[in-house]
Formats: sequence, structure tokens, C-alpha cells
Amino acid sequence: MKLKYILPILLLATTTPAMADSKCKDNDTNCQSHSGGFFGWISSWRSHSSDRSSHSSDRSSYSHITESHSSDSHISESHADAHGGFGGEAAGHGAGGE
Amino acid sequence: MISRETIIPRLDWKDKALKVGYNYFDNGNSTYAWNEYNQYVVSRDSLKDIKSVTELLHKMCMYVVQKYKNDLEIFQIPSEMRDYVRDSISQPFLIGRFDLAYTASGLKMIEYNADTPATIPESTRMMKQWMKDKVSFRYKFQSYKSILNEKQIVSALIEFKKYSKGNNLTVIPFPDCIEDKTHAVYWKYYAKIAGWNVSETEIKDLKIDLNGNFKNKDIIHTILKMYPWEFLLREKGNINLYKNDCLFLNPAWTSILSNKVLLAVLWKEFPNHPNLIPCYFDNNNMTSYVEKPIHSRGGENIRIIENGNIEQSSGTYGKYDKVYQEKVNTRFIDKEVSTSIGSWIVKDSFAGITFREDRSNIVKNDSPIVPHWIK
Repeated sequence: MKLKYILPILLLATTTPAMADSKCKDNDTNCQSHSGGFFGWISSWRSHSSDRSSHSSDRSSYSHITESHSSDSHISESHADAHGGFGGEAAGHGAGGE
Repeated sequence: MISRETIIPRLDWKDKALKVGYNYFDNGNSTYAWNEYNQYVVSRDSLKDIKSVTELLHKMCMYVVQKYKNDLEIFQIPSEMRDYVRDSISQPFLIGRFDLAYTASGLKMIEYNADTPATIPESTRMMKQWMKDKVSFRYKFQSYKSILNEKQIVSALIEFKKYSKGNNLTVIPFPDCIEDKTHAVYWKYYAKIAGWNVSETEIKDLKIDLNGNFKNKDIIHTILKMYPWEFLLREKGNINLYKNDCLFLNPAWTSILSNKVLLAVLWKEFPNHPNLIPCYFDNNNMTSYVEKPIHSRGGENIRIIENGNIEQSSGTYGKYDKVYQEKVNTRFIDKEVSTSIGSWIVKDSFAGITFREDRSNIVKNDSPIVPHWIK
């Protein structure tokens, strides 16, 4: 087996998703979304609610271009219009998983 | 041989579930989506049977994709997106889960969840933890091999870099969904181990730059999504999918596999195949059948007609056209519950099993996962 496959698999065997997530750096926006590391994030979600039925999607959040889209200097107005927003079809549906 | 037994649960299973990040087990109505008061015991021969049937069914599905790639209207893929779906066939398949029924006449394909298959945390770390705690040493290691194989996932993610124009991978969960948020943690973990630059993006925050590239703060080369293709293909911005060559995992052609039309097409292409259930575009004068919307997730909007009796689930997919699948006995293992065997494919190989059951005849996304081991 090639080395590029062996090393990741060793890492997989010795870590958990929790450990990997808690190693994020401060400037990683991905981690800032649930500061406090993985366990902080779990607690946050748990206190928020561990009841999945309360997490229904809100159509108003996804059916249009958000302000951040149109104010993004990298995006022309025409592109923002053309984008039309992804996510609108989620309205009223509770989950994406099969 | 597959049997279902009553056992003593671990008293601390909820705390242990949280330790592996499995945090959506509470359905909020005094029921749980994890049940270790029971277990399934699977013989090694049965596991081999599940493996060979699963890989065969996957090949049959791939045959359908190739044969019907120029006939996508049957799957009700929007006309303006059919070229996009066809072109995506060059992109690789990452992961899917067959739902199988174990009946008196063998394993039968209920459906193929091959767009955004869920239950990853339960099927990997939660199962392994349960086996570590509960399965005797004699059977432990052969049982570990029946869990959804994370090594296969990571290996595939390493291999698929050759299909991507760059190393930036973003994970897109379904909005406002704790289950998908948790899956995103797992997917980011696998992708990081595989060596990708990983981020997470909400679907509403997916941007397009002047060159047509998808962006968050950087250009996105690969998207690992839990947002369904049947939605993306119908979005207002769907045409923008043509503007770049972003690699999607799973790719757009998997919208053929997750579409319930597949069930009717498979029966047409492989009539009377022992691992298929008769399925049609009308009820074909069947007296016992299951009516399924062509797009439906989590057991929503299912209607079972059995000798005049009707059992149905509510949901949000009722507007779509239906297919009609013959009702098979899903209570063959234990008449107390309806059992679905989730059988995983990663890339093109069998990758493990997950049992889910319900006291009703409709297995839903909050029906309990039940642990298993291999005897």
C-alpha cells in the first residue's frame, strides 16, 4: 500500500472526530463557528436543544440573496442576481440526510 | 441467519454517545434514535451474502445510470440541468447506503440512499464503541469489520484529489439541522485526514465569483454536500452549476440513484431479479404495495396499502409523483419490528452494515439504530 494511504489511516486509527476538531487554530473560521472546541460545540448544541424536531428550517433565511452576498466586493451585482440563491428549496424540509 | 435479541443496555450510553459526537439521538418525544435494549446477531454467511448482494445491486444501478443518461426526463430532472447531470458521470462516487429487507426469500432492495446518506456517526464510532463495550473478545474483531469502514472513506477521499482542480474542500450541511451539523464534523475530519484544506459553508453563503468559481473566503474546488441534489437542481441559481468544474461528492448523477424512479427502472431492466422488489409507475393492480414519492427522505409521505388497510406517514414530499413498490415482509427477523438493513458502498465496494428498525411498517429518520455483531 502506498505511503499516502498508510499515514492517514494510522492517523484515523489514533484520533477521533472530536480530537481533530479541537485542534483547529483561532484564525480558522471553520472552528470559530463552534468555539470552545468540539466539546464546547457539543454543549452548545445540547443546551440549544438535543431535540431534532425543534430545528426546522426557516424559509425566510434562504430564499434570497443575503446582504453579505451583494456587499461582497468579489461578486458583481449581475452575478449576485444570477446566483439567485441556493438553499431556497430547503424551505419546509427538516433534513437532508437519507 | 440474522436474529434480534433483547439485551441489557449500557447505563451511560447517552454520555458515551456525546463523547463520539453523536448528539441527535433524542427525538424530543420520549423516544430515541438509538436502541441498545436490543441487538442483531448476524452470521458470517449472512454478512457475506449482504456484501455480495450489495455489490451486485450497485453494479445494476451503475448499468441504469449509463443506459438512461440520455433519458433523464423519466427521473424528472429539470430539462435545463440534464446536460449537467450527464456530464457529471465522469465524477467519482463516494458513498451510498442500500436499505435492504431480509425476507423469507432473501435480501431485497428497498431503496438506494446514494446522494446524502446519513447515520455516519452511529454507523462508525458509536457502533465501534458499543462493540468494544458489549461484544465478547471472541467475536469483537470480526464484528469491527462489519462497521461502516472509515478507512475506505479516507482512502477514497485521498484518491479523489485527482478529480479536483485544487485542494480546497468545503462541507455543506443541510441548513438548521443538528444531524447534518454533526455529520459535517465527521466529514471534515475524514477530509482533513485525507489531506484536503477543509472548510464548512452554509448553502445560503455559497458565492460565485466573476469567473464562475464557487467561493466562501477562498475558491472552492470540491464540495462534500449533505444538501439534496433534487433541491440543488431546482434552485433559482441552478444554471450556475455549469459555470465551473467544481467536484461534487456525491456528484449530480447520484440524483438518479436516490430517485425512487430507479426502483421501477431496475425492475423493468432486471425483471424478477431475486434481490429486487416489483415496482411500477402505477399500482399495477397489486393488493399490497408501498406508495413512495420519487423524492422522499426520512420515510416521509410513505403510504402502505395492505389488503385494504392503509398506513401512512406525514411529511413534506407529498407534491412529487409516486412509484408503487410491492409490499414485502420486513418483519421476517422479528415480527415485533420492521427492520431495514443499511448496507454501505464506498466508491464501488461494500463497506459495512447498519440496522434500523421501527414498530410501525415505516422506518423513518428518527427510528432507532440498533447495534449488531457478527457471530
